[in-house]
Amino acid sequence: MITIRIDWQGKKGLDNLIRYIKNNMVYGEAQEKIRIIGHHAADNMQKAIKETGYNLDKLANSILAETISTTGGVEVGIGRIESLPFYWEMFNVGFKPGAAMKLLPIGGFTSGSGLSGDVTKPISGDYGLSWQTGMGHSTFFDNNMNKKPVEPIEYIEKSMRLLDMELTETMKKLGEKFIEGMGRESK
Amino acid sequence: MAYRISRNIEGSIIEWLQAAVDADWASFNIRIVKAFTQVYNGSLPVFCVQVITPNPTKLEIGSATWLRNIEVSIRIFAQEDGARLDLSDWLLEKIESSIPYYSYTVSNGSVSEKVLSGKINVNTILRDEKELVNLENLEQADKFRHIISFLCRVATS
Repeated sequence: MITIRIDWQGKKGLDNLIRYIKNNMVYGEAQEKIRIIGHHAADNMQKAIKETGYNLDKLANSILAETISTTGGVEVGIGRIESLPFYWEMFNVGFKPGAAMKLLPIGGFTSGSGLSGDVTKPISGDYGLSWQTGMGHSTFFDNNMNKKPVEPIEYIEKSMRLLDMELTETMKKLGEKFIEGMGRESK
Repeated sequence: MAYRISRNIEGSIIEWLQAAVDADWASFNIRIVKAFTQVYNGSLPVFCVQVITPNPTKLEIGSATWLRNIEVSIRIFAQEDGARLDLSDWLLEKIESSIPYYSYTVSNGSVSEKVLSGKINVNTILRDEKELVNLENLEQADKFRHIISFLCRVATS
């Protein structure tokens, strides 16, 4: 338990202090700062995905933050599951593309490649295309693409680490400001 | 070349885990790897040990010393869900006690010297859960995965 003892010098100081606490406890700048930090977390996830070199724009662009509630606190939601591509968790933790998987690095082939058996690995993201699902010629890719494991991106964990740092720093600053304000207002 | 803290922790944990697996799961042919891609080059089950070094913080106000909380993730790739549960429970029990910390020196790609120089203490379990819930599109190696990750610190002797 944390106990705060306040020594005031007169009723005016106490009234000022009570007013200050009321005005700053819930609806102060803390709420807005934490809301912004929540939205930063989504930005950081998008950044981590885009830095990988895989063309996962569809995944990155579907990770959005929304402020769900600002009543009595602040609640920020990140990435609605139903709007994310099914592979959102696979790229987060890494996986090996499977034979039955219609998850294709759609892109260009170097000239000369084709159905002769000497097929060049498709270049993910070539011509600005991204990983897609369920394309008609998936069997061709299934048989021929170089199925190297996809290393974990861990975009959620990376973002959480940054979120933790930002929150700690902000709470520290707000705490200092709050204590300073309390000291000033109680005089 | 002397390894620094991250690689020392990685090496120490792999060595400790190998000894524990040999003692308790000798007939199960469990592989222990440190690179994610190595998981898929052989049989299951597999432990994949990886060390992540999050941003350090200062030890205390005014101190120049960094406080290093090292994050370690151990992924379990099991052949079926029962084995996933058994191995994850077993691993969690094992990391309750501290892990010997060795300082390694490497010459020409192999360890030329290792010195027992402390203990690795697990401070916080960050994750203990099944990875990849939607199994529909997964290869066998990815179907029964579990992750245990934790923050640890080294107490040098």
